[in-house]
Amino acid sequence: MTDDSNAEADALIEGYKQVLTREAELARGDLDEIEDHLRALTDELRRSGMPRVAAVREACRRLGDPRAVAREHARVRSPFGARLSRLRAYSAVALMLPPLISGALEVFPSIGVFSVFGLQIVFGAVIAFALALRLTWARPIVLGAIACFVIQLAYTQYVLPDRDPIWLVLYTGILAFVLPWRRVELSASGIALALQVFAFGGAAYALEFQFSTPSGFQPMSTGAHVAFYATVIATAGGILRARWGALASLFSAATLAIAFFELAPLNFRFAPGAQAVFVTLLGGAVLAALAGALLSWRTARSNLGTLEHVLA
Amino acid sequence: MHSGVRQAKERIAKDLVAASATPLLLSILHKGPSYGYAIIQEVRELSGGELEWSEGMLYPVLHRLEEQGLIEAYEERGDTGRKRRYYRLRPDGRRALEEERRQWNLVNAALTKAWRTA
Repeated sequence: MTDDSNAEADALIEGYKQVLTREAELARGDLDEIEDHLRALTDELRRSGMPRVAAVREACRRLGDPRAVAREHARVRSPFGARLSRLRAYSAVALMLPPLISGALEVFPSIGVFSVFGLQIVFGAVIAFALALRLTWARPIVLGAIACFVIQLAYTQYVLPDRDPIWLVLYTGILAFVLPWRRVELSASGIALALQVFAFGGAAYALEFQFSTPSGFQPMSTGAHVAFYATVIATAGGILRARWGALASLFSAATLAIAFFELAPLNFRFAPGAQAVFVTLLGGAVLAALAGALLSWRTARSNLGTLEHVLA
Repeated sequence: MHSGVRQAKERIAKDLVAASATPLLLSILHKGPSYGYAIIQEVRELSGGELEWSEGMLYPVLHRLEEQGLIEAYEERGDTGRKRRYYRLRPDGRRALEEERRQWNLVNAALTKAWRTA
């Protein structure tokens, strides 16, 4: 009898914790703290004569709606706000799958994963993964990606009018669907990550740009190559809220600036508007990387970031 | 802070409950380290039951103060043998408490004066 009520009481507490973790990413210590509160309150209620299960129920009620608690928690603790709603996340992934799969089938056998286009597919897959798990860093990445896609749409419009922009339009639309945020959720570290993703988009564009101008192959831009990998590292650092991410972002700002000056003397006569797109994306990427470095330095948790919690 | 705490039974206005959360928590921790459940009890005692906080919302407020560097958390085994997270005031928190005290005294003095002359 006592065993039964013990098991039922534990199940109730477990259930409360599950609703909490479904709504936001809570660190183990934060969850334990809430469980400790539930158990302390239960003990007190039991001392006043309440049966165990009823006491746990009352303790859960007094603690409040776990979804509200989790969302409030996410505003403070989670770097990138509360999780996406389940419906929004799953439908975004479902919408993203067809272009991802058909793109992958088209690209991988012929060009390979290490082409710029292949890397874009990989990037899309990473976003889909983050959305599917409703990870809190999905939205800052989506925000940075949308900014890039919109400028790249202009790029295909002006520089390569023969290329079909339908994918970019599709991706932009799908991603815009998950974007709506409550203002309070848009934290400084979220903005830092979005800026780093934008810088990544600029580096990818610089790489692609030198291969695809109608005037033929351009001289290789060392800056663009180094910047590309530096921005990938900076983005990973932004997700982990680590100081090394800020340093990578600062380094990528320098290499993006080099790429900018390497590629800027190109002849833009072949396409009106190409220069404006070039300056906006690559110049914007330099500024975004600088601002991202500053913001993520200020909002970093520690040198290693959340990796420290994982290792601890 | 706004929805960090909630009033029950329409005792003290919601905004006032929210605004007083930081100075109350800092004052309680100024007396010595404490943990969530004990803090809730103390708030209830201090206010004679007039200040009723939604218990789950205490933690986001504590964590915000922790993120701001005003208080710090550490773990210790409590009397029940369970590991328990305690909070203590940091030097910045002590300074913030002084400032809160100064401002609340100003408001209090102004209101007292205004009501005396009314």
